[in-house]
Amino acid sequence: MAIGPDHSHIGSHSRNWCHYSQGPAGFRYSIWCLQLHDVSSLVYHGGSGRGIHRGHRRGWCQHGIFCCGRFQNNKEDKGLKAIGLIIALLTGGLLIYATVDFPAYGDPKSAASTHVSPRYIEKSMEETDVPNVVTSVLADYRGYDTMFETTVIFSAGVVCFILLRIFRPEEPEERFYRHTLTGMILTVKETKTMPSRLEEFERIDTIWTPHDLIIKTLCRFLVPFIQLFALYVIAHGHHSPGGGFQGGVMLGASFIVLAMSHDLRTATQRMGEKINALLCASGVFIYAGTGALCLLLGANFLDYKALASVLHVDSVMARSYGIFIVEIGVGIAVMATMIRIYNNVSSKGRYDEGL
Amino acid sequence: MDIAVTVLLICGLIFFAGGTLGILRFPDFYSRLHPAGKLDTLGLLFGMMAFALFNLHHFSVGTLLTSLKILLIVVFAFLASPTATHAIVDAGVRAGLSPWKKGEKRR
Amino acid sequence: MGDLLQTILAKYNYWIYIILMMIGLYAMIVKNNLIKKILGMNIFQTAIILFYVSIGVKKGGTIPIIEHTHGAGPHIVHAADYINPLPHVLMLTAIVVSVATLGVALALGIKIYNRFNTLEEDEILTQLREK
Repeated sequence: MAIGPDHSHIGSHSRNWCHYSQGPAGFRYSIWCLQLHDVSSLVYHGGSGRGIHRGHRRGWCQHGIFCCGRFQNNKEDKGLKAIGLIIALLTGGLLIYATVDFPAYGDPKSAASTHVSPRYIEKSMEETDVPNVVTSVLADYRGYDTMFETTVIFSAGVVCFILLRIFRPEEPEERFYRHTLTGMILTVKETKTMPSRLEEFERIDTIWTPHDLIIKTLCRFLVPFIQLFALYVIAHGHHSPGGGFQGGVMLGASFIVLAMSHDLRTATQRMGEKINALLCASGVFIYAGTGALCLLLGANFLDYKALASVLHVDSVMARSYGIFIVEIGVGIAVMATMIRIYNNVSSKGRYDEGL
Repeated sequence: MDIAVTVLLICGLIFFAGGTLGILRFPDFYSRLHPAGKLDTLGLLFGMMAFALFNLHHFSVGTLLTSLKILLIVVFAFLASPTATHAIVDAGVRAGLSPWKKGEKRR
Repeated sequence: MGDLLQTILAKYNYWIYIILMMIGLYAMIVKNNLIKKILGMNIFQTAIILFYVSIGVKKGGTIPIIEHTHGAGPHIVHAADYINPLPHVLMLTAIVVSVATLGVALALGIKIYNRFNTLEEDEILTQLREK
């Protein structure tokens, strides 16, 4: 591994400050050392695989940042641009012409606000005891729709998993281990038995930036607060803006923050892949299961009045509690899907190195 | 009470305006991050203090709790915003961007 | 002139969002890079969501959370005081669908990149024609 100060391109940040050189076995690697720091904070950037970006004129670097300045070579040909502009203008013109029939902005007597919507607003408190009309319409009056929406997001997670997940990838030819005391990086070639965590060495990613204490500490500190606020948003969906989807996304974001500040392996230790998949399915199961329970108790599907006998409350409060249960199910499903999509897309299915 | 709220709000606005002016006028990536990170956070502090004070017009336990929650926002912003600025500067240094020196042309 | 101003004031929200939709459509058709097309699709979806939500606005209405005091009995609620909650509900579904579509589109983009080693549409078409 040649480390030399002649590959520095400080000051030429505007274009092409990567230096690409042909490495052994078709690898391309670029080393740039920072004159502002000492040698111990070298950043090693290695490419992997099969002769990617031959000219590196277009497209993305393997790690996804624009490391090469000369990449915009937009060869959109002029004919396509003209056709696209004409299509967009025509469609826009047609749509604007169609808005002549639309109701005025803010009209309380518009057709959208007259038939069913006043009934929902007026009857929501006395029928379901939920002040937030959006939540009561979403989870109770139009609950069937929301169940399939949860199924849609579950299937998006499953599709990402099916498309991308590689269970037995070809082992990378080199693994990189870093001695924690001195900061020296070892390149270990392919051997049969290689543990993933040695005593004084830690396994690092191919594209690795040194341990940044501030970001790691802060993200570790903030994650419980984010999760607490997310649970608050789920639970207070009845009385304030919020509900299952919003809280679920924030819960998922707390794990993604962990994966971004540390590396993907740390986050996978906290939320394993199998548990994640189980949670995703169980969220949908809770939702559909509540509906089936109402069916078993004698009412229609997703008719929460029937839960009054199970929960020992009157039928109005039973609807409120039914809404709460399905919101929990939605929150769990959305959280697990967000984590799953992030894990699969950022590691390209391999689950070994993330962003 | 109203005078204090107005003074705090105007202070906050001055800091925000200064931050915006700095982003537009400074010559370099690193020097532009100074007003972006610091002045915005401080302007947020003054603005939120003004809101918290305004909320205490009719004093009761409920409004006191709301004002404390508003000040909690400031605590989290003080934690997160300088860290984000630090991360941006770190990325710039790692990518090899050199600082601006006096006499160079504006980048 | 007054009539035109009246029309613009009544309908300007639809026009703004239609312009945003057309920006997204233009990006989907014209741009060469697949990621830019995906982002154009996302802009289109967001513009549609905003369009629908703007239909439900009522003049003088507040957010659709019923004012209630803790433990008080039911009192009459007037629908004209609150904005229409139905477009919000439908658009929650639309937001979820757009996130799901973005995830799947990015996964497909990764597979295309593994196969063709590029994300530019013209190079992909060239490689396909050479087959």
